[in-house]
Amino acid sequence: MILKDIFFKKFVITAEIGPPKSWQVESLIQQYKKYLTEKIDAINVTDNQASVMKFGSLGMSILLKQNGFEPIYQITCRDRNRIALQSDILNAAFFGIQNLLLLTGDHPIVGDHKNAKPVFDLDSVSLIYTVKNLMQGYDLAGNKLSGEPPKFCIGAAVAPETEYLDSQIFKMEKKINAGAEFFQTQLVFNPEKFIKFINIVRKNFGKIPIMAGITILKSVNMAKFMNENIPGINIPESIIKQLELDKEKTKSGQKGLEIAANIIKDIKPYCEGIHIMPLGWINKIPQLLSLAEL
Amino acid sequence: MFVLKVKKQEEIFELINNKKTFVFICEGCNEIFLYREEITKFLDSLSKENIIDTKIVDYICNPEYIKNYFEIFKKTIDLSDIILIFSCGVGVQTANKISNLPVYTGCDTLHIPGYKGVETVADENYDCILCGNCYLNYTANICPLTSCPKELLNGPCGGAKNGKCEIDNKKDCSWEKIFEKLKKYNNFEKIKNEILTRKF
Ligand code: SF4
Ligand code: SF4
Repeated sequence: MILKDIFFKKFVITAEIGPPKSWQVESLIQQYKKYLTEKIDAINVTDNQASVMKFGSLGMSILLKQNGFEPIYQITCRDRNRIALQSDILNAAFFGIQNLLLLTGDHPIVGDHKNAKPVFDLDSVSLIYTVKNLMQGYDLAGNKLSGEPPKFCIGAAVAPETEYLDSQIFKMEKKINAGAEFFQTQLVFNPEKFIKFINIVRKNFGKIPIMAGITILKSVNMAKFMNENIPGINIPESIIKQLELDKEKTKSGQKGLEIAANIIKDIKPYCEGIHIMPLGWINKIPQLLSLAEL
Repeated sequence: MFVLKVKKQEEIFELINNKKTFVFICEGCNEIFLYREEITKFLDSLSKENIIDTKIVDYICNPEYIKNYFEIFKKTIDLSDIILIFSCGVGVQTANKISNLPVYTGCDTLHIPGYKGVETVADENYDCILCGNCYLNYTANICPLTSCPKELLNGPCGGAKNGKCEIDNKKDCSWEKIFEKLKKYNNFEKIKNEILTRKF
């Protein structure tokens, strides 16, 4: 299934998984089958997220596809130059992967191989443009591909609650011009801010599908940590207060689920879907979806 | 201006390893940023038997000059086992070419920001890696290659917090600065309409 076929026909739900630091990934499939089947349209597979070396996103996407899931293959520009990137993307096409999320990626210095060479031969915008070219039958250097061009749906990222909304919108426009067909956003915690962002998007770019990033907060400390360390995230005091109120409920995940479900209900009328980043709590996804009445 | 860093003392100790050492300290480029005090202190901490001679010289990156130095200081060089050099990487490589003794460097060359040759004292805040395809016309004259750790050409990574870069919170996000400048002069057309890629 290619995502562009279902946007605007249904409220699209995706969830993100991060492969482990291991080659033995098959057992995870059972877990995904248990928690990520019902109502989940596609699964994002992160590409050595936060520059920590893991099982690769291409291999995991193929495995998901072979097990009946619809993967969204995430690709960053951190580790590969334009030759390797395009080559991997052709591999993905062969294995039936149709949905991509194209990112610049974190710098190696934030991860577990701090001395690694940061490649960044391309960035998110030029990678999107590259895939667009492949879809038209040409590589980035303008050489013709033999046979039929691959078919993809190109996803990109945007941070709607950043303190730098102007430059985000500027970059979003570049991504759309380069070929982005849908956006998954950084985590949303302030429905008002998100709706303001959506209004700007509609005014400038019309009907481009936007999927709001959602997570289940696990603790007060996690919320504070994210506020301090993760760019574009802005968890308001009111949410932190709710987490503080009933420590037990927060620890069990009940409070985090309620907060997330309320955010989903608030923003649902304004966007085309949600993208759940469960940060280890994939077993809570079914509960979240039923709480949010999805 | 060159920026050189003296290597860790243990590392240099290991290189010397009790061998008789001839030391060159190059001060050719008068805008050089070299930790003279650190070097002197380090050399003082070594035993006198180890250091045969120390010479402060100019432009060992110049093949003629370094050849002369080897002749002028022949007497003490001949008594030595190794040559230890505190200079930029170019000087070390040049000396290495003509030396019969093993050559070691005591420095790391960090960068050569704004280096315009020995005559100019350039602003250390600006750097150029001579990429051969200058993007300054797109980026409000702030070089995206030398000031953004991800070398982004098409806009910010979105990682800045309080104006600071996500990789290094002591430095401003260059792309937010570029964006402000472009905004100020309402000069977005060029960068908006073109998708830039590096030409290596
Ligand atoms: S873009 Fe930067 S590195 Fe390239 S020529 Fe211009 S100033 Fe130098
Ligand atoms: S925060 Fe700014 S300067 Fe730092 S990597 Fe991102 S775009 Fe570049």
